[in-house]
Amino acid sequence: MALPHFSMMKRGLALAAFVLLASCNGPGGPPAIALEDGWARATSAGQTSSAVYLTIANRGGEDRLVSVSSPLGEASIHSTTIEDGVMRMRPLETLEIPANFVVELEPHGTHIMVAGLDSPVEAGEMIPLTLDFERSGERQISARARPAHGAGM
Amino acid sequence: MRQVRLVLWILTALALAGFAFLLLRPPYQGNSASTQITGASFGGPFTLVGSDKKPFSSSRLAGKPYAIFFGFTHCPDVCPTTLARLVKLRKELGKGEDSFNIVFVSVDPERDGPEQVATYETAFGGPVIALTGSPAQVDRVKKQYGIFSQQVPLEGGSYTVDHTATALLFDRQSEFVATISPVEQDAPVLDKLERITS
Repeated sequence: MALPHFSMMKRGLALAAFVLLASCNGPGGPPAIALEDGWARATSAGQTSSAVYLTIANRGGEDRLVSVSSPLGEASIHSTTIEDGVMRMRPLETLEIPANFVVELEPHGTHIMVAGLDSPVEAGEMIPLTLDFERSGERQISARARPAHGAGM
Repeated sequence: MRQVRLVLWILTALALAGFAFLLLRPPYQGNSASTQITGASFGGPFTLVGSDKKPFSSSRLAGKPYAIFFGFTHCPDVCPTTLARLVKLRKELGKGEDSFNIVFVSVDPERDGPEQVATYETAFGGPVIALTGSPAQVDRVKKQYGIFSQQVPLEGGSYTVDHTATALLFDRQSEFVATISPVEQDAPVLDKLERITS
């Protein structure tokens, strides 16, 4: 699993402190997953893959994202690392969702790739996704496509 | 105030030294059989293939500053993010779309034909020159610009491409000036774009 981004860790720690104080919910307790802020990058004709970004907020016990799917194409979890200036993208079998933690999928980091798109994803269009969690089961989210030139960073 | 300025100058010097180190150290080992780059002499004449399927000579870049980035169109994350950012920062620079060229070169010529790279010319809200070529042509240009790339097989017979994600900046004399890292903040990048276009 890719190391969490620093800002993500800070948010995660703050949330962890808050939730621990509020509920004393341990890592073994039931997870409480919320999917937020899903967005994707619009594609132009001929581009066959897009990336979906979202926030997975877990206000409960630990969980794990085990698979993703979309009716629009072949969805998979990917990590991106940039080391010595070289970008490496790798499929991830699973993505750990620690207890009381916010996992952010964002540009230059972990993302959900939707490959094999039959037609371009226009800005404003929604990409439906099903995320399957080991303990929480299936969750749906629709990611709105942002114009490619306004998306990112 | 003077001390603050001194500290800033020292930090700038350190940053420049860091860049110099990154640029001058030997290229990635995977390219060890290739020509070693000596000094900061990136660039040089090349011929690739444009999105119009015709040969594209580097002489068409002469006389205007340019930013060059190597990637592949099946890349869903870093490549579109970088190109979208370059187009956005060129707008923020406020000197017009003519102030410098943004050049994209595919490191995946097997999948990226002219039609494929053409999608990158118009996708980002401002003009981009998107180029591909034969694998041999692309390899030669990669060496000229100190770019590493390597295909990595994926399950199911497909593959992804590991590649240098740093963009290179050249002034109007086609002299190498600076690099842009994907994880760098906008402000220093705008400073560099100011330098190549001044």
